[in-house]
Amino acid sequence: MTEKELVRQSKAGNLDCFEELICAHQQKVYNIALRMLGNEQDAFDVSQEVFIKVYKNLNGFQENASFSTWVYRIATNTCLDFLRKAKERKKDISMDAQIAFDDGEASFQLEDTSADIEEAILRKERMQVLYRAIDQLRDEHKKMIVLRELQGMSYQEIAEITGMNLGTVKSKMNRARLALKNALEKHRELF
Amino acid sequence: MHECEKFQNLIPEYIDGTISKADEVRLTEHLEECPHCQKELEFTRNVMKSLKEIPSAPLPEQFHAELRRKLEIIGTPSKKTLLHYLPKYSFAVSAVAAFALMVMAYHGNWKPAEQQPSDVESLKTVSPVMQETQPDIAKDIVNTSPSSDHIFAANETQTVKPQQTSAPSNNSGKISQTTKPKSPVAPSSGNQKVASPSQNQTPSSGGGSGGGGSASHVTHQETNGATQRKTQGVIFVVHSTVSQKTLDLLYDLPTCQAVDANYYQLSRSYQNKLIELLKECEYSIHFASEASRVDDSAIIIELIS
Repeated sequence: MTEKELVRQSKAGNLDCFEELICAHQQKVYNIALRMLGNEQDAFDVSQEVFIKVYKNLNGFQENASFSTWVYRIATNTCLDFLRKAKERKKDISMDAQIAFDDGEASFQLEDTSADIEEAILRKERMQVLYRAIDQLRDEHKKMIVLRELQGMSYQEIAEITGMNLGTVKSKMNRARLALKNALEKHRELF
Repeated sequence: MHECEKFQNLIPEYIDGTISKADEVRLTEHLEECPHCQKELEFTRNVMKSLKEIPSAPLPEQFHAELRRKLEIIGTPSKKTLLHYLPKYSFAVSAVAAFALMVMAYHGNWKPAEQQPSDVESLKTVSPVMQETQPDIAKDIVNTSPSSDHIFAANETQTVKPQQTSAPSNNSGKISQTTKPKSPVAPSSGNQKVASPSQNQTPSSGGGSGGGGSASHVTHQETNGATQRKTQGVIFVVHSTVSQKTLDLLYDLPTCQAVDANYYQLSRSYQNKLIELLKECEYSIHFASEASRVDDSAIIIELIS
């Protein structure tokens, strides 16, 4: 079934078709949320919320538009909204971040059995430092780094998702990278 | 070193391949003769490489089942768009909130301080609809203390933050250093917010000079008269349906600051910029009416998608 047909079926309430429609985007949305929010529980809740929003608002989706762009736009906006509300509540989400990432990191390490142990430890430490640095970035910078560097999206895709023009995306991206580099300055020896 | 900093700012673009040809030539020439920048290039390159090595986390096991369960509760997608999910009485509620804010500002500006406690009592009556659908705002209004120290809580931030800038708001073109709100924050109190007499001579600092929770500050209000309490700037109320993109544009406006949750203010001189900017967004601007102009320099705008 084509994407358009899946959208039509989903609009009619066919949940199997909706699941097929979002199948390719679920992990990406979860990872965007995970890296932007910094912990697995919030990422789980927010990515569920994203797909519920997508489903509820399917009738507002223009079929000639890109479904993936629409989904990722909802995902980034929902994450930013969550971060804004979290700040309002003065909720400290960063403290859990490293604990939450430990599992994911550990499973990643297990696959790397042939790697030298010292290098593996260093790599793990580097990842922890990176997560912490991303977590410390301004929300806008975080969004840029996650979409471009972690999700590998093109500038054009990011422009469509964020609604910014290409020039703005490029300049914001540069600022985000410089901010990240500055945040990692004191861990220079790891890189 | 300053020159190196300029080149170092180009390094991410250089690695990414988005640098302009002219900058690339200048940077590569500089790199050839600057070991410090070569190290910087190496460091940045390694950081960007490490970012790409971050593994993609798998979906949690119960993700599909949990989502399916939630979707089954929803049933069929609504025939209406997201905009129709606004609370039924959202406009009425917003109008009440805006009106309440306006009344607070009005009383804050023109009533003698000793009359304010009784005025605030009237503000405690919040419509049941508002209490139900926007409990936070309703709570804010209900919780407004009868003490004159708190009546001007919203105005206080308006006054104080511009004072952090080096220029008064009536000299709009010169304001450039105002702190931008990263998130809506409730105004805090503290003696540091007490304006100096010289600062209060400016129309910009007059607005909302009340409040602050210090006895000396209250005295200051009383002695400086009504003109000193003028609310200055544009206050706008942002609904939860306003997109991040719009918020970002608003935050970027000069002098834009958070006053309270969902409430932002802006120097009046940037009102036209605000209107111009909002024309490009999908949001209509609801000036609460001419009556909302509580004085010559304050206006309340609601952003409703």
